[in-house]
Amino acid sequence: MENLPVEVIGNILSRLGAAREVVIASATCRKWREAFRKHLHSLSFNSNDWPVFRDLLTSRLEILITQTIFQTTGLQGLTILMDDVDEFSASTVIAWLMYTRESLRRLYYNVRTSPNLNILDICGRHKLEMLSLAHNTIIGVEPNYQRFFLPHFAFPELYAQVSVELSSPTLKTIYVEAISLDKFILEADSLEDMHLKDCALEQFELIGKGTLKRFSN
Amino acid sequence: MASTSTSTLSRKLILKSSDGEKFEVDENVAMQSQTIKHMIEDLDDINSPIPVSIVTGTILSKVIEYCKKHATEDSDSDEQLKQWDKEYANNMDLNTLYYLLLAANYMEIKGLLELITQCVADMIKGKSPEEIRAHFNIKNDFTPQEEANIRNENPWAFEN
Repeated sequence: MENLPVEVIGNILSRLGAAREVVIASATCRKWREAFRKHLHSLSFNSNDWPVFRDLLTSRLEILITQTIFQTTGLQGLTILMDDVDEFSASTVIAWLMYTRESLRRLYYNVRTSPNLNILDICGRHKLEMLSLAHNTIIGVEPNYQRFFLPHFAFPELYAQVSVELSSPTLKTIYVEAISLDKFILEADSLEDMHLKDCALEQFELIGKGTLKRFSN
Repeated sequence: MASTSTSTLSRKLILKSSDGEKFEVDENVAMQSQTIKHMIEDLDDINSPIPVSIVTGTILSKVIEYCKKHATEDSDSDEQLKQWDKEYANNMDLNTLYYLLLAANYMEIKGLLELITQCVADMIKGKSPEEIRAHFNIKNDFTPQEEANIRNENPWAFEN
């Protein structure tokens, strides 16, 4: 295994996903360490992977996530799913997103931030293709978000206000759960799957080309 | 494996391993390798053997076995194919996995590369650096100071 190209080792480490496993494996030898620092493309901090996360203080969690992310370069997938954390400080979350946004394609994030943060504002204009958020507020989505390439877009438990307009020619799947909006306009010419659950929508408009194949609620 | 009805339409290619072994395969089987696909595009005469220079005959035959299985359309459900992949990978010893990984990477066969990469990742899960080194026969080339630095940088991962 020593003679594998360092990119291949980066792929192997990325398949581990769980941050703790990746960090431990990066201590195997110099080449694996280099793979971790330069060729890791996915990293996941998930309280389901490692229950000890649940016992750590929020400040300590923020520090360890920051330190780990900052050892890597070029992350394409970042997962931060912490079930028992009330909130992370917005400045810390901004630091994670600013550090990774040039390469980040997939983000799964489920912790409230204080003060509230518009994650789309920070990383939506770069490479992001897939966003899964919970416990976050997106206050309105401006028309200039229209050029987003978001094939899979998920808003579970989104606490949005007033009105949201989303437009994407490539969006195929949308997953919306427990949101309350005055107005929700979705323009999606390629939409195939739509999931709307427990939503209170005063006005809902879907503008498309009849591509919808599955609707669930 | 029996050839499918589509194979009569498909051209045959000859792949030549690093140790000179030749394999005749349907074009749609070989084309799963992006590297071979690109080579064919640049080739005037597809009847001459295509060299797969870093892959031995033993490994190439296993690569072809995978590509044949994945070239036949609709014959298996996704579930059956997954099960086949699992058994295929489980039957390899570590040495073979290593050379298959190199081959899949060189030949750019996405599915095979993902399968073997995941298989190796699964072996790493739950192991300490010492156990990983022992399992894969990797030499620890860190100085004691470098090794201590990694642990100091990531105390949470090593303490608990």
